[in-house]
Amino acid sequence: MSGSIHLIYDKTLKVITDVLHVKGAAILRIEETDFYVERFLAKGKMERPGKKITGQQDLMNKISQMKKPALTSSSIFKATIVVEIMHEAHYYVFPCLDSHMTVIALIIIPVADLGEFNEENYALVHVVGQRLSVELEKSRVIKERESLSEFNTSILESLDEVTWDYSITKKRISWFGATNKVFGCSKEEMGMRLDFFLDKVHPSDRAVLEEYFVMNRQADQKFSSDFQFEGVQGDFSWLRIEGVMHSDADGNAERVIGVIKNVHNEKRAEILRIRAMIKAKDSERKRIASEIHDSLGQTLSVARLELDSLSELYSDDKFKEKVISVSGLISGAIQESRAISHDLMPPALVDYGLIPALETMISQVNRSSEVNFSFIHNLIQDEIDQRFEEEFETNLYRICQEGVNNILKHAHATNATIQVVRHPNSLYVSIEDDGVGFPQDGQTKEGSGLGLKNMANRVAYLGGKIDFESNNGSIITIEILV
Amino acid sequence: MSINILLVDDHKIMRDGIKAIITESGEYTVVAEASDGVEALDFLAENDIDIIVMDINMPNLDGVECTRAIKKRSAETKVLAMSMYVDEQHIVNMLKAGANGYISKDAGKKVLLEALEAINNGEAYHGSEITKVIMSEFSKTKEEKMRENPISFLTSREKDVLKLIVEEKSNYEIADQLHISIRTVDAHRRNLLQKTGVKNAVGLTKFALKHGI
Repeated sequence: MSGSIHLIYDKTLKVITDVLHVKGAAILRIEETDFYVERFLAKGKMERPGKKITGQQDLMNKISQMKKPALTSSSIFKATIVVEIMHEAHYYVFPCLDSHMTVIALIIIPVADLGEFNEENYALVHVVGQRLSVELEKSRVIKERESLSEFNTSILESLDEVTWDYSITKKRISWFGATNKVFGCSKEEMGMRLDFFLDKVHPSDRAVLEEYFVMNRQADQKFSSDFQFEGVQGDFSWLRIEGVMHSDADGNAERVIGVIKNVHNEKRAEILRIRAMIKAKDSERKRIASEIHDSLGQTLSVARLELDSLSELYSDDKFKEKVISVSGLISGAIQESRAISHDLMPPALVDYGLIPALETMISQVNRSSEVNFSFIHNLIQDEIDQRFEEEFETNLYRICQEGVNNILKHAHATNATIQVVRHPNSLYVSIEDDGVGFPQDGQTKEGSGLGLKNMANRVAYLGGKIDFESNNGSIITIEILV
Repeated sequence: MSINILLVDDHKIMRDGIKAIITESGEYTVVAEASDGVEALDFLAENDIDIIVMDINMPNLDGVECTRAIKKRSAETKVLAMSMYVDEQHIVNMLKAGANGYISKDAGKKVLLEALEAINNGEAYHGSEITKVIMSEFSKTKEEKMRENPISFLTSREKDVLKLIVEEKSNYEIADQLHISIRTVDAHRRNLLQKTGVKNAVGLTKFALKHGI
């Protein structure tokens, strides 16, 4: 760019000298507090000093006042190189103005004899001067834009962020920024088609992203969504997409633009925080459960056996009656302690794993409640026997337990289904009923809100996704990568 | 002749309690105690025992595995399971392993002695709460039969979605019609594919027609 602007200075000066046959002239470029002598012609000799002249506060003030071409005394340029054009003469000064009426350059031509000055003669100076104004402003805008885009690019490249621009009509997408950092793929690999990107989005998120990109939607409606993206190693990382749809003049969807950034660390930190919380809770539960089971339960059992023997030692009926009553009380205490201990740590879960434990839970609530629960899963015996990690099983069990409790307490349902579906890379769990659904206005009924929050926390712990929906009852769907 | 009993339980207090009760009756002799399955098997390798009273939750080798090993070696040896657990998984697994009876630890003296007597006579004995669980376990085999009908594998919402897939509706149309999110429709669709084992909407349609949806 700077090359072409030099060409403009040269051309401007050449036209002036060729037509007016002057022996001296100068072109100054004005910046805020300084000016630069870009072209300098004295005694027919041309120089391109580009010299910066500073500290001329008075002169700068005067220059900034020059809004129209005019004759000035050369003395105002005293103490600058400009006076050397032709000492003691008057100058014709043409100010080049930008669109804000700011002086950005001066063309200075000496007028040897004031009487000879004819404005008509200088019509040409107007033409070249105005052209210079336009070119200077253009180059400044370009320069600003270049530095802005350089700035944007360097920001984009240094952040874990890419921007994108998807043309709905052409079905083409352009990627900008550090695609390598965010996707692990170069821009060339990502290509112009959406498919490459969508194929690597986790199946459970794909439908939502397709909707954002492909489906027509209201213009200017912003969207934001977190999703998981498959990296080169086959592992998934959390990304966040934000975007907005633009329409053409006729209101048809034209393009979607936005940002995708890596939020994996944020998500990880959040998951770790929840994990620590849940872990502490669960290990405390486990400890209390085993204490109740090992010590309280066993001692009470023995106490009852001993008491039963005691009753045989005496034949007194009143005494026997008392013993039977106390024995009954102890039996009740044993059952209660067992219920507490099982609730805190279900033995079927510890010994046999998630699916058998859920089967046990469902058949227990079926025996004890009015709601007709069913349990569906698609795991084969080998998969059940393989077991998942302990934390995974415990959390999913608690999630289902919370869901079942919610249905029992709040749903007023007749039928409910708990479902576990094993997919190649993920586990899908749904808890659905035909009851009253979740409160619509976001105001959760006392208790149910906390239950749902607990479920969401545990799902986050496992790095999964949970959705709550109400329609002809409620459905909670959970999807976790395994 | 006194009946020989081996007590297997990791809680000494429990063994002492049971021992006191069954010794009082005079019909039984507790000839040995073991605190886990491994100790029990070691003892049984050298000695013959009439009845083993077996806890389930024990370190090293639990009651289910121990019972299985005992029964494998000698099906004649009788095992009475006596546990704090009364959930169906433990009961079913213990009975599958070959236990002759199952009572809860809180059942009391009367039940314990009845159980020992029945088992000694070659009968099976299960505490009342155990029987309840076993009964519902039987009714579950009905459910298992229903599993042979793959439609019973589908939730009512999945059936709704399947019907609309048969009508060649897109995810968006289905979401709109059922007032659920795209994400949920897509999850239903993927579950249907996974559960029926077909590859695409055409397969789902065939499946639906075959099973009368």
